Amino acid sequence: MTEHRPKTAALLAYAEDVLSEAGRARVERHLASCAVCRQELAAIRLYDTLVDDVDDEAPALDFDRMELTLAREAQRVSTQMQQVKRRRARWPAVALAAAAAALLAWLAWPRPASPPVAEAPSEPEPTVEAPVVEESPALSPVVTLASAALADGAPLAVGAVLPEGAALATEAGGLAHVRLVDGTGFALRAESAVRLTRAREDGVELTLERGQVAHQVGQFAHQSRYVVLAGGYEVQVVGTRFVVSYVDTELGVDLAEGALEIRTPDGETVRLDAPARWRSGGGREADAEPAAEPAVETPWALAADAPRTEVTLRHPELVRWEIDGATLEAGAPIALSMRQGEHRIQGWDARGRLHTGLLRVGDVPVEMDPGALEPEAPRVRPGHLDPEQIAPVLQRGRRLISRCYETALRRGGGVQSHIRLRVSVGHLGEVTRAQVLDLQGNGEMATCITNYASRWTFPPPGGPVTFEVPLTLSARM
Amino acid sequence: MDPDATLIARAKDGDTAAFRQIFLRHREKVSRIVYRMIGPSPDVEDVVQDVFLNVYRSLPSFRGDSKFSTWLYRLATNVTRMHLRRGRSRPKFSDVEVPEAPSDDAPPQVTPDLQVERAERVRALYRLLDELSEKKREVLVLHDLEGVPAKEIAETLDIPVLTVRTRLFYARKDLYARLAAEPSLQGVMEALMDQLPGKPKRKPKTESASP
Repeated sequence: MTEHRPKTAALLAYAEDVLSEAGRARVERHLASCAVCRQELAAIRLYDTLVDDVDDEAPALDFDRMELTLAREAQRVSTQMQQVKRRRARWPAVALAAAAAALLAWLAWPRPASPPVAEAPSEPEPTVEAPVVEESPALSPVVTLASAALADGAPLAVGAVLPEGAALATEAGGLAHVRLVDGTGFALRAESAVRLTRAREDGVELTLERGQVAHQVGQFAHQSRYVVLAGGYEVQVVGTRFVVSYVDTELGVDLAEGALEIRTPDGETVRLDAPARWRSGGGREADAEPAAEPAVETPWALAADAPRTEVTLRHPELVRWEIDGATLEAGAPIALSMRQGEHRIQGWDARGRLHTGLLRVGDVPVEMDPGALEPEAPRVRPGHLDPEQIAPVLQRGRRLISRCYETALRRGGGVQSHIRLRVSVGHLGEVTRAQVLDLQGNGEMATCITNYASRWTFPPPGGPVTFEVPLTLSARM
Repeated sequence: MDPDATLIARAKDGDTAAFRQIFLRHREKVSRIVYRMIGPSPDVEDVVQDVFLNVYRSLPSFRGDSKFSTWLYRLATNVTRMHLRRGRSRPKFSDVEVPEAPSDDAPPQVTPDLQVERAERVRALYRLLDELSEKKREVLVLHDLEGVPAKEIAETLDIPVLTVRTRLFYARKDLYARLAAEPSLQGVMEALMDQLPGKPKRKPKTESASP
């Protein structure tokens, strides 16, 4: 026996008193004979009361104790914020000396079980007399690809050399790829922001403020250090390919190659070997889990090997591009530096249709004309219907078609009982055209038949199909 | 202007008093959300603290694209989810004697029976909430118990508004069935059913009242 299921939506509407009078009456009539519906309506009412009951209730927690812990954290964070401000303002002045010293100390530490916590500097700010540490030579990070991206608030230009401290941000659907040195660089994904806090031969430091950034890190100098900071987490790299994401305080690391060390804000150290996927979960514990090799894109033009020219790719419909073997997801125009010579450009629109074209890059910046990409001709694939799929439809249809014949007979005159029907079926099985062949002199009967036949539905043939069938009509008068 | 905005701006400037104000303003709400999601566990305090630790650490990345409350709920649900997924054997409302609502300052109970009954009902509700799936519980807690609008929940959980509404509908439907089947709520259920219009003809239930 099938059990009657109450219509919750109707009961809710009744409980909320939003039904018309007729609607209310209908529900009430039904309620009189439906025990399960009465029960559900009672549950709805009970739930509403309960929600009111719990309204003011809150757990009793020791907020004072919590406040103490939080005050310490507030102090730490606020000091960090002020340090960042000072560093931005006076980079690369003497504050760096202290930073470099701390860096050396950190590198000398074999595997910190409890790494040093960044303490607020209690002594006055260093003056010019502070010990001078020789500064490592600066790198020249170059923008190799940009699409809907900003650097320090201005549109990001391909070929631009980023200064230390530069802030990059991408909009929805945007991209920004940067080469730090030959073989090392990063790709900022859409809706992300990163600050290049340090770019020296002995070390690179990126602060990921939000979003995701993919890295490819080669060994760019002896003992070089590559660090990504995000919300108190520190991801330390040696020779690797990985993505760091920082979304709503959750740090995510997808490691495709090499090894990483993550230091959590609580001072824990997690070591990852590829392939690995790690999520902070925002809690104190971290869970590392093995994974298949995660998708980590290679930043554009990491090798500074050949002469390159800036190219702007623009197409109103394309959402995904494939250029020189790299796949880029970007809807906005993409500016990128390309090797001189001929390139095959492929792109896909939102419906998955492929557009292709050739692009010649010389030594003058080019802007590609959307017309240079030819959309793939929409392929018309013929469909297929088996006789066994056609027969039942004809069988059902014959009865109605016979009425046309009967009517014609009643009107008198000689009427053919053998006809041929040509039917064209669309890819969903709908009849796109029906035609009565070799029916002489009875236009009315032909129209009647085609009218009925156009309402038939066949199983979807997957493409257009046309077939002819003989029909023998009979009258049941 | 959002009163939180000034506090956030000050906190971003390193004003520790502003951090404290943010905590004071939102601790009750965050505690309720966490408590309702994870049950009467001693971990509630730790999780709430974790939420605020995360708030402090992530303030620099809060850009004001969404309301602060939305951002805060998102943090709270994320931290809570991670806590739950870490798979600690968490106490369930069904395992623990729930103390009645903390009402230290409440006047002496004038109608203890009503209070007790109310506490009993609330306990039953929590027990049933606990049986729901995490997804269903999240939308019910945020929408029905915390009064967060569906649009904000959609932003909080990063799902379409339509999904919030659908999830809410099925969560309630699920809960109605559980409420109807909950033995400790039979009395109140029957009383409510008797009040419904179009009462069906029933055999007199006198014999069921006697043992």
